[in-house]
Amino acid sequence: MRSSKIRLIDVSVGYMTETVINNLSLEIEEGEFTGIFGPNGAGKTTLLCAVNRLARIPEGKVLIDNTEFTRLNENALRRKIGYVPQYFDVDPKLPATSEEVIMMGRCGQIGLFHFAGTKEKRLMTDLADMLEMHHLLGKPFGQLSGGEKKKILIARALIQEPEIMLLDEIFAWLDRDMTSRFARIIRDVHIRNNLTTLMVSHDLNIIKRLCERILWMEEGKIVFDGGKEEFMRRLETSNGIA
Amino acid sequence: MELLELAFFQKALIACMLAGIACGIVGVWIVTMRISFIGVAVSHAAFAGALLAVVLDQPIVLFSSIFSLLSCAVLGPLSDRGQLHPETSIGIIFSATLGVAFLLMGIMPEGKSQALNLLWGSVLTVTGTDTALLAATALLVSATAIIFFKELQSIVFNREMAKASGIAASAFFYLLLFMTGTTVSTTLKSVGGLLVFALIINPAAAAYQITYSMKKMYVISLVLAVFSGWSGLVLAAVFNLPAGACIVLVSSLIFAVSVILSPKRKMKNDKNRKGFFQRTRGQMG
Repeated sequence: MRSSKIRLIDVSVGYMTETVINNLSLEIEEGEFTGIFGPNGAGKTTLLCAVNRLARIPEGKVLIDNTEFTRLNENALRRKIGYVPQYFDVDPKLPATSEEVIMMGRCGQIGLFHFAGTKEKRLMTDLADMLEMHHLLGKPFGQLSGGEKKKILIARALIQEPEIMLLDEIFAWLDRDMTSRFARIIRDVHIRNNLTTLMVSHDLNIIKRLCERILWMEEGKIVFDGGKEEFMRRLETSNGIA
Repeated sequence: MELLELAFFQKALIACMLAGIACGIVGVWIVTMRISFIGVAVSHAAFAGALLAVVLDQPIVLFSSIFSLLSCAVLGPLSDRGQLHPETSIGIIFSATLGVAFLLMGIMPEGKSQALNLLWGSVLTVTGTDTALLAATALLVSATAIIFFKELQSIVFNREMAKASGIAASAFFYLLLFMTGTTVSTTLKSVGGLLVFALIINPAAAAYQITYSMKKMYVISLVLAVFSGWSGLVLAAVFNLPAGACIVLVSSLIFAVSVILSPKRKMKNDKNRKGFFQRTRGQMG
């Protein structure tokens, strides 16, 4: 029997005075590909940010491999987790090549007072081969298209050699062809690296195609947790999931 | 050439070089993180501290350091925790320190002339102690930029993403603010409250227009800062003008030239033209 990779116990997360997630408990097993689905403002991104503790967690516990992570050791937790955000603001003139942006993901592993070595170079070459992006490495990151930026950010997360991947709306604003290619890449990466993956998406087709388990969230709560067949059956036979 | 043989002028050139190195590097962090207003607030806090030192007849560097580092200690957590919008907290610190500075100027025994000296600095009268302090600051800032290059590059790119990959992003942000405060306070007496800000922002902003490499940006920024200082000094000596004002104007001119010649600007214009062409072709069917 496999042990739980991720365990959230009675986790509450809020911003300012508003509670987004209230007393949420969840277990994700090692190697699972879990999709998080639900309306805007349901707390999907907040749930991802609770797992890597980017969100401040006033109540509850976050355990990875049965080890509890708190504010004191949250950097060690984040080094185990590759995170690809939905969107973030970058100045197109920013002085950083795509290769440098990818290598930034490795900073935590390399550690203070050390520099990237032969292992990092080998990882970079492997990633460039796998994601077919050799031609992007020397280009300024700010000058890339939306799809190319997403590819670089996925590579940035993967160069960490993570055990867990958190993907937030990575298929947003991609055309059908690019979505299909990305879906194949994400599936391959998940299997090849034996990752535990949590993915937020609004695209039901993508969720069906990639995920073994689906969480439906509404108002900060998980209202459905099950396999994709059960999810589809519920979706077809009722007007709602809950 | 006779100028170069004068001891006070040689000392001024060395002071400008050291201040240029420190300010040029700190400027890269301030400009790339788009927190220029923090630099203004910190330099005004250092100015208020220096004025208080004059009123109390205490060491200027000590008081300007305390004030600028205190302002960093307040600004960092406020902007980090998002309790207030960073610009709001910076605006409050800026206006408060400016209020303190004007109050102290009003009660200073020798009135405005001492305050103006601190505002414009006295680079032509730097002492050995001033030069030693500038050298220590330049060394400290350079070492920080080299040793923590990858961490600082990562937080400059995006602090939230740096945090997500396991870097102590807040600690490095505070280190960066601490370095800004130290640079401003140690260069205030020789370079002046207004000039130090010009030397921090203008050369780095010019370098930002020129390169896509952070390593090159550090080098270009500090070279331009040193060049601004040296050429401003020479112009001031030749035409008998205030040195501080000449240095500020030269660094501003360099920024203006860099904007005109920027390859990034050309690329943006090319993209706009391409967009217009494509739109026109689309309309034509």
